[in-house]
Amino acid sequence: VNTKPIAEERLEAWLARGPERAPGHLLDQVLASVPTTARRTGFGISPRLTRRHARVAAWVAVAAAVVAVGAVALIPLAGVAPQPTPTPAPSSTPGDPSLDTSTWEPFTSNRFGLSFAYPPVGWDVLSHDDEVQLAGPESQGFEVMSQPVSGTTNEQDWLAGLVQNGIRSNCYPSMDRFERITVDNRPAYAVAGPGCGLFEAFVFSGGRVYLLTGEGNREELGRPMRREFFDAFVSTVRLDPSAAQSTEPTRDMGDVSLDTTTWDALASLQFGLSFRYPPGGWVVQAASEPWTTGTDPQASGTSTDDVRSNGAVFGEFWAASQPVAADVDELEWLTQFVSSTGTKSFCYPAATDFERTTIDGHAASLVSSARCRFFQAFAFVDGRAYVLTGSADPDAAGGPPMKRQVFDAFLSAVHFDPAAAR
Amino acid sequence: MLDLVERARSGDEEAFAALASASIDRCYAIAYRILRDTYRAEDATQQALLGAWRDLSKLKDPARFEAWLYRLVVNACYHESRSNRSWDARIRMVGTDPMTGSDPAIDVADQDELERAFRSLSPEHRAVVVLHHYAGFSLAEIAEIFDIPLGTARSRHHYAMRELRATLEGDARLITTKDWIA
Repeated sequence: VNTKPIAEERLEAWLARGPERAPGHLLDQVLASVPTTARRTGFGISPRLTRRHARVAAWVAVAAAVVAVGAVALIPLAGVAPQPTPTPAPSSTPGDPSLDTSTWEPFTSNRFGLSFAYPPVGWDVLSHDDEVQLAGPESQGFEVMSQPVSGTTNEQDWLAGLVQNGIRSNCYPSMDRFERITVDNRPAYAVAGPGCGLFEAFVFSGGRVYLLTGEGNREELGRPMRREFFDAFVSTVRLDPSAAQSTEPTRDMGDVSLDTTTWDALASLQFGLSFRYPPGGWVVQAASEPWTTGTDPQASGTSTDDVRSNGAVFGEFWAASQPVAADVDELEWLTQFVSSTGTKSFCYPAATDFERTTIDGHAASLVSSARCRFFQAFAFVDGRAYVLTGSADPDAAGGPPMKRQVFDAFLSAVHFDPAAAR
Repeated sequence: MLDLVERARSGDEEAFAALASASIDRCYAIAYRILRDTYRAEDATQQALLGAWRDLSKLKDPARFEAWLYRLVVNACYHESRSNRSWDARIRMVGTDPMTGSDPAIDVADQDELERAFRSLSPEHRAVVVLHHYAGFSLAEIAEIFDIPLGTARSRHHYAMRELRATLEGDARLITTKDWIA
């Protein structure tokens, strides 16, 4: 069944027209220039670090631009941080939405247990599995989500983990500059990241944490969001944590049996473990090289044992292990691992907040990232660190996301044998 | 391919020539569709491939060569597009582009309309549209290519498609998707 809107069909047919081959002389020109093109050496520079520095530089540049127009004013925690010089509210422009929220459109998300309203003209609601996105004119947007938090998790610690580990960590001021506000009559935190053109509010309620993000000036394509606009949006939010569904995906990878005795088995020649995966049409790709410290073991990578379904319903598991240096403890290793994932570090909570579990009789920790649509488990056995990942990302590969029960079934059939690792 | 990348990374010009030969058509096709200009697409492709040779030793994971190269192509397209702000005004006559194949579903008026709508997009929006709807990358893969969060890739795609639709509909009315969501 073709469900593509007609505009996309037209666009793709139009894009398909056009040259598929480069002019013959172009390759000759490139190759002729190669001998005279000086190469840059990469030693001493991590690509990830380079990207990070580039991003910081971009944020600094945007921050300077935002400060220059005086678009954002922050109210710090009273008595904690120095009072910033008040900046006048920016004057309204014809493109600004009305701040009279009584005219806004209501929207209720049972998945995340909240309702809100948004401007009636020019705004679209995009419902993803991991968040509700509101896309507006001039690259203005809101993102809304909630997720359960452990009853033992301290709010400040949770926020500190976000600030420390989130991909937007450089957008946030220090914790003492988090503003205290109320959302739906509940105490909440607010933060402005003018360098990133965002405002964010966090509410802890009913065992969940709600994240409300307002963004403008995405990649300098739009313009900064006005604080008054973000406040107007937040004022429409009503929380109902009891109505929230589990953030686990509600759909399954087809009719995968959870009886792992019916699954196929794979014994890793590289990493010292075996595991099982659902039968029928799965592609197995064994690692061709060790997984080295400081790198993220990628799906379908050369340093992971990978199995993926080859049918209409997509799912993928991959595993890897590596020796752990004697002077590195588990927490330190996990923290370094999260750092090595680069932009994906946003998917992880602080290492101290990883869920505890057991795999093959060994203590292990687990990350269930509804936001990034993967499950990942870590176990430390006889001097080796094992990483086991399951994912079924509809955006990446089509089909519904993976259920936690499927990943748990996968973990239940894992057997570690570190002595067999290469 | 991995072997070629490894060898080219260590300075093997023959290996790089093989890599360039295998990649140049794809790079050029993508660059052309972003820039809508054959000469600029040639410049961007050349710039990207020479940049790849220059910086290949800094590529940490050879398996990511393809994504890395496409990022260089897109960045070269940004550079090309911004090196002359008047590029948007360079309207080509429909039918003079080196088209291959033909789709009877797209008549001349349609081509003209799509050309104008596409040219109204920013380079960043063009890139995400081309990589998704022409090159076939998922939004998650595009996020990785651009080194941006998935949400940003989704937003860019959404904004681009909305602008395209609005232009194609011939007025400022924006299509809302809220009725499609349960």
